[in-house]
Amino acid sequence: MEYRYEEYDVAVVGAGHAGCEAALACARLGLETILFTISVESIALMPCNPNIGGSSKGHLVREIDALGGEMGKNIDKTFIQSKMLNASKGPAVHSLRAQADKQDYTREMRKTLENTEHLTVKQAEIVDIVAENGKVTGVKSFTGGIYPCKAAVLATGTYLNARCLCGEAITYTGPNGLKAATGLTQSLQKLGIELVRFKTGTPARMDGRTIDYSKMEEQFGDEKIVPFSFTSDPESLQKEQVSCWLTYTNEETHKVIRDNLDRSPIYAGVIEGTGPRYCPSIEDKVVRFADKNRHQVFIEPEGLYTNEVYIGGMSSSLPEDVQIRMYRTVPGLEHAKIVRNAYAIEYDCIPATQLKSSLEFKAVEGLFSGGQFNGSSGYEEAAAQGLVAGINAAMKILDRDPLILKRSDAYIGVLIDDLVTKDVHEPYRMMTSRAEYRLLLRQDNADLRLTKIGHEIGLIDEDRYQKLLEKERAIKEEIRRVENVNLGANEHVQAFLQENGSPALKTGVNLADLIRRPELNYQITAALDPERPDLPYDVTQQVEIQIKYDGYIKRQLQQVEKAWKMEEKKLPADINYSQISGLRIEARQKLEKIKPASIGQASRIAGVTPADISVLLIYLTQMKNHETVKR
Amino acid sequence: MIHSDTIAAVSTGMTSAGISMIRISGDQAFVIADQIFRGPGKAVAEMPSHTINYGFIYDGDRMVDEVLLSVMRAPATYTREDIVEINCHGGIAVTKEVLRVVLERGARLAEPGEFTKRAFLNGRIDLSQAEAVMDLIQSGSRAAMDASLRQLRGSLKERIQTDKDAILQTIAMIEAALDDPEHYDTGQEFRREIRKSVSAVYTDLKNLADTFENGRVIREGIRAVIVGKPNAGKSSIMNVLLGENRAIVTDIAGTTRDTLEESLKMDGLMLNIIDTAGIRETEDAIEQIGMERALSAVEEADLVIYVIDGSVPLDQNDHVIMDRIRGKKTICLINKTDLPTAVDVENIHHLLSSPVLCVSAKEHQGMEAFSEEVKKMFEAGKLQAGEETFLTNLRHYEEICSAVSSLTLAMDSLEKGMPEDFISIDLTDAYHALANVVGEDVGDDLIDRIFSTFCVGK
Repeated sequence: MEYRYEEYDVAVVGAGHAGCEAALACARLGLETILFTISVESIALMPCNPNIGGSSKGHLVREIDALGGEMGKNIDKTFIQSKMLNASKGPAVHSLRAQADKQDYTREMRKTLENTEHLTVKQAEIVDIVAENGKVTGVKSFTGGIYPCKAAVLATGTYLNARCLCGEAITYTGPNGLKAATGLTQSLQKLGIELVRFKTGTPARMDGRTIDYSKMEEQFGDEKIVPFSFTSDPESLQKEQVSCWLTYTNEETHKVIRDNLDRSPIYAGVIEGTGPRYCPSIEDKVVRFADKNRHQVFIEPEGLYTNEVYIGGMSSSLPEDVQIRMYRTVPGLEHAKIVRNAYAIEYDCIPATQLKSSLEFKAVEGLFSGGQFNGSSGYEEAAAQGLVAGINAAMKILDRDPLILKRSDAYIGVLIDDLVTKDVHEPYRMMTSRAEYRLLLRQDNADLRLTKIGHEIGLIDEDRYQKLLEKERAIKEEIRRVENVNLGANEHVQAFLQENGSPALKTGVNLADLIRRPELNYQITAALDPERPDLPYDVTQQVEIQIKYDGYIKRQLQQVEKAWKMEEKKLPADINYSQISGLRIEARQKLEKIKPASIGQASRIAGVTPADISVLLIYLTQMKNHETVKR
Repeated sequence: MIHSDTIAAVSTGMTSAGISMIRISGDQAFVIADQIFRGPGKAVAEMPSHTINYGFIYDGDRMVDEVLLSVMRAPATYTREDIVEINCHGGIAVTKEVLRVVLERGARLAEPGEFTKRAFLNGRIDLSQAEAVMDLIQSGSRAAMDASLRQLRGSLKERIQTDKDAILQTIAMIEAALDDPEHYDTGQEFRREIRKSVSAVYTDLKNLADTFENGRVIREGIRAVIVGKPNAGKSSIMNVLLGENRAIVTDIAGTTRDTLEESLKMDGLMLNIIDTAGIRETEDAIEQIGMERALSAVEEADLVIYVIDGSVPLDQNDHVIMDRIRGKKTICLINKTDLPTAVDVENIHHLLSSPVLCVSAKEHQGMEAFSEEVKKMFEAGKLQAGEETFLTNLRHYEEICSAVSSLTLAMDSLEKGMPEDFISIDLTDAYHALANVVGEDVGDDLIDRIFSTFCVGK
């Protein structure tokens, strides 16, 4: 029987990484928020890999943190190993990754949710989005409760009409055997929302006692742990860490896979969903990289209080009997026992081109969505979108401007712009190469880029904001000071240079010039800088990077400026593309569907060519001239 | 798009010969034609699209000319508007008369390039082609437009496309390695490969930019430069090749102090041969100028003919020359085989990795082998006749210069051992500069220029 439950400002459907961020953001902004989950035990569940961060994903986590999200803080509380990846490369690609204790991660997030004011956690399956005149008015649960709300955020992850496949064995469940959500799809279709089917997968979990680690390479965490959250004190995070292990597949592994491909649901055509190219199953890797005779296998602990380990790099949907044979060909896994089988999961999600950059549906006012439901892949991508969707649901209710991050502001900006602009045919994974301005979007400066925005929104408190301003000031001051430390070509300086393998000076220079030399840096040059103040590491790190890479940073800023001109040319929402005769038909259809906000966005749509863009530009100018004449 | 008026113009040159064509384009094209055309068949508005119709042009009741009238219905036309083309019987007076009649019925005389302008505004042609039209409008000459259009379609576009693709390939390599360190190694080999590819594009673009600076026009023939130490016999070789005593030949080293240029035909191939001053260390200022010219001639050469005096051992000057001609298509001639040989032919061949021939200019020996070798190189596609592409457009030149300086920065970063992702910043700039040339990147400046030239929307 239907009945009316009490009213909320925001209803969030799903309590995974996107849902948690969305709910927390809304509640912290003072809005009454209800968070629905099919199972309270599965809040912030990590149903796949037991780590947070990694290449470019680590950037997302730091950005989430700078905007006032939770993921960074939660992993800082629950990590069991931490590593800065690509430390030998340029600062733009340094990326933090931490192994999580999965149970602990879930527990800590649940604790945070349960202790947040204005936030209600509710175990219920939402089967209907109630809308009137194209505007959300509430959500309805399977048990008949109607929850009136002003805005709703969909974060259903991989649960919508989910089915899991392990060879011929198919179950109609979400990850980990959890109940799938089956009612909502139809309701969304009724609202005119298009759904597609995506696929992803996860490898087996094994009993760590049955693994022979002596045949693998041990992978240690960093000696000096860098926290994810800018609020965490690095000193307090230093602790004993667990190791991961590296091994490889071999020709024998690949033979087992090839011999049984006909029993893989993907290759047998049982799976219709599109899988991720960048996080492929081992079957995909063997087929697609036929010339590679081995692939990395990364063994990661699932937590401190379990023997289960995650077999990274070997996700699969092959049947159980094949899986066992396949895994046991890998050095160290010869006698391994599988605790949980690898499986593929198929689920309903949307082409996110139906969303505005604010993550609100174009067709349904007040309805927002984030996470894997939007066609992305990964916890971090989900959390980032959840945070933005939550913030924008709140902004909508509070009648404030939506948060739209530019591609030059944050990886989050790139992520969302790509999702709402491009035809995504497979789960979208964040990658360093997707960010064209990555030298500006470093993980080390996420706070400098975004804390102000977080503060404006209301998720960063005054204390943290003031600290940021102070840091900014200290960086600027130190750079100015260093640039004014003049050094003559005297004996002392030349001796120092010789000692450090740097060419001798011919004329006087300032200290910044020396720091720019490849073989020198801020730290080393302290010997030439008696006046140097004692500054915290996060300040000197910025001083070093900003001085050393000054030229590159400036050139990248110029690129941003150039591109920004096109972003500033706004396309009115009511533009009738079919009336613009110069456009090619494909471009017309794509523009009509996506309704880009600017020329810049239009130029990123596949199927819109430079010629179409010039037609649009001319059309805009003509319109403008036309209006001027009318006035 | 918004065009209320219909335009008309004589599309062939105003000459007294043959047939002239008057083109009418716009909403009213058929209406106007119907008022002045009388034929045996249907009214113009009823004629099937893309047909040619026989009839007469009338001014009221007075017959002006017997014509063929082409009818093309929008949008499958050059301007994407309705077009009528009247082919009349030439002669300035008749042509003017037909045009006057057309204009009197409501068409407006088209501005130079206006048909093309409409083609662009209606999305019929792309930005790069439109730019060629701008050149026309600005220069007022049809020849300029033809040249400009031709090069955008032809060799220049192809060459820039190739360079642009090579840059993209390099960027892709870097990006792939960033995202998939498991499968891509970024070691020394990787960096060497990047350096190789970047410097190849750099060299090509630099050469292309130079064609603008030097104002070099298309030249028929292979530009061959004779270089060597003083008194190696360069001028003698040239004379033998030309079959006449054109250059001054003496035994005093340093006689040829400037470069001399002559053309000759060799087995059907055109060779522009440039004799240069000998290259050696010297204090003589005038001689130094000659040498500078010699070296810059080498830079521009399609073929270098390196003459060595075989009767004296190689010295420092020879090594300087070899350094300068490395990478150029070269044929080495060891001259003076009439005297005892003092050089190691095998070694020279090894040093240059080019064909080495022994000749005697004095006794006219070995020259057939030389012309055989030139022919062989040409047929193998190693030599190209003349400079095929050249820059005439200032904007293209500026974009290419900016690409060159971005590539310089990228090579500098490689040199300094900067991580790969820094290199891709400058490569990206170079890529966009080239994309701008071929009209694939819609640069704001270009749009602005087109707006100002075309008076769009006024």
